[in-house]
Amino acid sequence: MYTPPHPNRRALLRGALGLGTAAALTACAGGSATVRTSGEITLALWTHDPGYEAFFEKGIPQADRRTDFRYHLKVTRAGAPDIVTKLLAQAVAGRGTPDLVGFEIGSFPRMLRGDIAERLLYDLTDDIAAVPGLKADLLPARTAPFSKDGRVYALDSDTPMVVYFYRDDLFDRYNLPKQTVTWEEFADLGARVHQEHGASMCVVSTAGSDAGQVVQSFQMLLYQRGGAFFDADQNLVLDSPEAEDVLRFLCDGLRSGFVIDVSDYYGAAMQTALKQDRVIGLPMAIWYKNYGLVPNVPEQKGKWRVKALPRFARGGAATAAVGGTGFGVIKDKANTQATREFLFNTWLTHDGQVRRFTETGYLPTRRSVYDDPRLSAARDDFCGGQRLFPLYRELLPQVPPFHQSPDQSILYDVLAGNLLRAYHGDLSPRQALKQTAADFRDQAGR
Amino acid sequence: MRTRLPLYGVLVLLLLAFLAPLLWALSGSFKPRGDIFAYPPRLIPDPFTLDNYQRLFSGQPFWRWFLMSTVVALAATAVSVFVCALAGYGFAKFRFAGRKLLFGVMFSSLSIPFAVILVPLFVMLVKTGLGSPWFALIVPWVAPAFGIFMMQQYIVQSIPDSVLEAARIDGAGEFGIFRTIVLPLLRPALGALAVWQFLQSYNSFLWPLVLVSDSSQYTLPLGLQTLFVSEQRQYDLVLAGAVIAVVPAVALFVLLRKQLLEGLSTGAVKG
Repeated sequence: MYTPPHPNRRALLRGALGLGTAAALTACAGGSATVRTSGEITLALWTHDPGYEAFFEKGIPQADRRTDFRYHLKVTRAGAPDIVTKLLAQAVAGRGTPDLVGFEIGSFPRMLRGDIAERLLYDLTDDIAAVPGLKADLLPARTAPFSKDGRVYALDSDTPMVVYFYRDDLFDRYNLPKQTVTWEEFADLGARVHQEHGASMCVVSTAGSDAGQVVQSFQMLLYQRGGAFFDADQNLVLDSPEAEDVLRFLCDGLRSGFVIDVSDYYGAAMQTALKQDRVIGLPMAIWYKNYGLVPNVPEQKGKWRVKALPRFARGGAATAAVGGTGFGVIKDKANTQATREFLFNTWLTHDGQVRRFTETGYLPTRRSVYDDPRLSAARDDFCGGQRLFPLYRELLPQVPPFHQSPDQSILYDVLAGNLLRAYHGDLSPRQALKQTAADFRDQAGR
Repeated sequence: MRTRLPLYGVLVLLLLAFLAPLLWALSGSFKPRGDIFAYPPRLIPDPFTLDNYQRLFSGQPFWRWFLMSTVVALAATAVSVFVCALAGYGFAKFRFAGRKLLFGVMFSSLSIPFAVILVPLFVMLVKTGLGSPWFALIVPWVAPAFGIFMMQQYIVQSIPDSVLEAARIDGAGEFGIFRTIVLPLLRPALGALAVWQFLQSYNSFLWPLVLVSDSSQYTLPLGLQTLFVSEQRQYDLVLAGAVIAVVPAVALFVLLRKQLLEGLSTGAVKG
């Protein structure tokens, strides 16, 4: 082992100079922003969905006409949860935040923790109030998930109501009625179809690596049945008779074959099940047609149809809502005003909301737009030319409210595990829900 | 030979099990989208198509992602291999105040997950004005504790003090000794470290995700993930991209295979 001589004065001075330079650079970091009120402007948009990118790009001419700005967009795409991670890191570092951010609804609750939303996002409440009639026109069921303490921090992209997708050709072949009144009757039919043809008419996801997806298949029916995860005050209300009803219904369905478990709604397992005609129908949000069916089974174009969900005999609504993406504006930036104006003049205009449906398949979030004849007239090729919009309009009043909690990710993790145990028969529905509530309270501390 | 047949059988089965995902990805990259998950699965694409690759190259800045990843990983590897060797040499062969403490701190940092230091590291780089992607994508990887530890262990085991003392008696400078004696003797360990370091940097996802917002500066993992975002999972393009993404790592492995095997087996056989 060699003992080196001590550093001389020159080496020490060199080291000190290096440290001084680093300190100076630190002092230089940061800067101030002058608010832009007109002219050429490039907005940084972060989104997980190329469909939104296309929508906003096409909306630029309209926004240019209606504002004093000439807009350009610089789009960054990342996974839905990654966008929030990236945003928070950039915000802490004080640089690089975008102007406009698309928050997938399941990822937004991270913004609800503490005062993150308040400090980072522009509060759109007053802007909404400033447009005559807008506040009453926006669906509360779609502003609530992106609100905190009565303040709205993002505008939703969709009214993603849950409907029943089914294979029209196979329903005919198996002599299945197109209108079934209750889930209970439907499940009896499903058990028969499974016995005779090996097909299932309902799906639960068991993708162990994706808690959100596992929860989603239960959540849709839970909300339809009248249950919920959280109330408006962010209290857990999962442990309810409605939740037990729904979980028992799904567990019984798995035993009878009416329900099939697949590992990924959007991936290989589901694609195989669809191609083999092992899944001939499923309850899902309306966007599933564009993001699940069309990419996975394009050759089944024309064979699918959409109808309202059967109802639960013991109560509940005719639909639920699952999914959505809220667009929020980052506050206190040079482009904040321009971004607000861009959002209001593309996303929220009547024509913008019509275009949203015709181009991306997302339903309007303004009630008045549902009366637009262009929407009712639109026919859907994938669904055999069916006019879908009249069904959606009919279901709209029954879309249940939807509240989120900052601790939602904890609930999803513990619920997903307990759902799988209930599906496998390791826990009764009652035990699974009790256990979930206990696990959640342990981990979330409330 | 006959007694080894069962062993070979097991090894062949294991080989097939490990190769299966790669073969499936390769096969899928030449299939139309609708055939990728067809049942029963077919290994030989029929029809065979290059459409996935064409769309990957024409519809996305794929080559930029590829270049970014490869250049960043190569730079990080080159710098880190040198830094680790230098630091490992220092810890192994020099006595200085606080050596044990410093080594202990460095070693204990192995147990800290990267996610924990992600934000502080990012803030530190930004606040010091060093947050530009080209620089910041490389810097966090240049002095990995694992690499320093590996070099220190290798030097302690393989380079006797007497060799270094002889060089000093002959009048060689400290850096000269490192360059002309230590580095050549370290070659096997350097090869192993280079492969490990390249893969660490090349496959990194979380750090580039936080750091880079300009799509044209995305690295491959980040770029490929954009093909998977939203519910439109473009398996066809992802498989084609993944097949190409494997090439630099395989090439580096083939290039450094001898050093890698020697480096990994050091100390395994008593001399």
